Amino acid sequence: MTAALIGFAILIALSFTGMPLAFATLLTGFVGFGLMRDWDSAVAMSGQQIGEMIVNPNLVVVPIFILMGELIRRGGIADELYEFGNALVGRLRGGLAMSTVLACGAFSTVCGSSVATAATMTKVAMPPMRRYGYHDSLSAGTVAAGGTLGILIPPSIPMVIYCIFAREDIGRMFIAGIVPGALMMTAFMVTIALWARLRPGVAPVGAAMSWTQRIAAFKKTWAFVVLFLVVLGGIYLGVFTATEAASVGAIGAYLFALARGSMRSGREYLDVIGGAVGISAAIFAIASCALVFSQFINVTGMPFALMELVNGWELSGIQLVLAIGALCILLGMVFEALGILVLIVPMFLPTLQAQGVDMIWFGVVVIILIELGLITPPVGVNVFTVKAARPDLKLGDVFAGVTPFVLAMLVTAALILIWPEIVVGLPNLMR
Amino acid sequence: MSPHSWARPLYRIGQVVGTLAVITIALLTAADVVLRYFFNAAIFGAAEVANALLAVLVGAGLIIVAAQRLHICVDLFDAPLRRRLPKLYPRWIFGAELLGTAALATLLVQHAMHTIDFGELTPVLEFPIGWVFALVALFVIMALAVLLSGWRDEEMHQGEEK
Repeated sequence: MTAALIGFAILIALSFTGMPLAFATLLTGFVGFGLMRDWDSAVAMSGQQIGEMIVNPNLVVVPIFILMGELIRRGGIADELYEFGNALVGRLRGGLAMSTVLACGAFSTVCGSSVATAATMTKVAMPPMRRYGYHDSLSAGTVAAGGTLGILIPPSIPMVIYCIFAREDIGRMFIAGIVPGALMMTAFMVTIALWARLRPGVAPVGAAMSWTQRIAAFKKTWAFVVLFLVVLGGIYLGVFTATEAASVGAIGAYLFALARGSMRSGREYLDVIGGAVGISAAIFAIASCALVFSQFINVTGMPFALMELVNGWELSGIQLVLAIGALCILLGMVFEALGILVLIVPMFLPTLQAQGVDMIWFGVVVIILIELGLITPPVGVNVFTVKAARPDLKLGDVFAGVTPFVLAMLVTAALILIWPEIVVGLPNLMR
Repeated sequence: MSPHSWARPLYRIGQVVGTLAVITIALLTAADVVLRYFFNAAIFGAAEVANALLAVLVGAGLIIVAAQRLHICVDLFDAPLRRRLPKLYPRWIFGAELLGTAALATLLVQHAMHTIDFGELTPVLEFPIGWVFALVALFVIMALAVLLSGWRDEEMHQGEEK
């Protein structure tokens, strides 16, 4: 246990000095394992873990979903989703902000990254909200918080990585994210409505649209509807595995992007697809090196020491999940989503399984709590993404703007903790 | 960071190979679905080819990561450290990336040699998977070279007296 704690301390210290997370986990895990056993075993174990990770059939889905997200961004689908959201709720006070949440949620169903969702929606939603006199804190806060839906609503890259470490089915995990995602969207929209009601100056009333205009706006979203039905519908109905759905979706997204004037030069192909390959490799570097670290943690006996500790304290499953949740929130202040998943899951997996915790439910709870870290200081990746996409925004305004949404996320997490059926209900109905 | 002239061809290789690998995986998987559903004839060993291509994609992608410095880091203390240690900090980051990439390359070379010596074959196509690991190791060595080309990067020498 002491060796594991020293390992964690060194890993965190190395990460704080700016060393890439992948290499910090690799070096700590390798050296720790070598010291606990011997160096030949450390070399053999590390090579094997990395080798197995990069040919893992379940992970083929990662680069393809990233590619699909990049192609969708090129295809201008986000603008159409925003327009439709506006046609639905734009006439309400704070309606444009609500439209942003709807568009973020819809965009998340075809894009698995929070940062990509936040960056895209900043460009799409911020200009109209400013034009209609929305306060920057509300509009920027909405986009930053709405972006977090990217990793809760499937497809989600952190969900895939979670499933690899927790040995869960990716398809079931994806389907499990749908209802909590919808719940989170509702919570965000209620937050906006309350905010606009309490401080009407931050969000003016929008213009009403006729049914003809609404239908016209809906018709424009056909490309999204097709991709949504193919990807999530295919997984839900058991027509496709997650990898197959991603492949068909990526080809569909490519055809839409091509039809809309993108992907016309070789340079564009290398930039877009090469960019997706680079992001995928960075994710694989973390995931595979984290496996080396988790092997070191295993040889220290920490997971089983934790299990004994939990048994000794007579903690129930829910108490354990709450304790891990608090740890996730703390880690979220420093690490990004993948870093937390690869640290937390291998460490607590045996204990959680011994307590009979549903790992799909636990995964969704952890993802929501990790999302908090995306919009809370000091790291708040989504906040900085919004700021980077609109440099004229004040950082203080964005952080002030996300505060009510943090409360909404905590309420959503509490509802899921109280009623696990919100998460496990839909996957249990899967074919 | 864009790679310097001598490393640019390596970067381009990473881009092209990675792009081709991901396109092939997507097309192969989609074609497998179509053939299975409409012609009741799946592509033999498609999943294994996709797995091998995934490894190639990761290796090629690491060249892009090295060139564009895409590694995921905790940058909480980046600004203060850069301010307080203008000469040392960029060198530390560079050294850490170099050390990590070199360690990754060494481990992959070892694993590839072991797998080749052991004669490990894939279950369906019976392809010697060790050669795939060897190719990935080669790409990681190329990533190391691309990273080394950044030694002369302006950022490395910021804070030095001109």
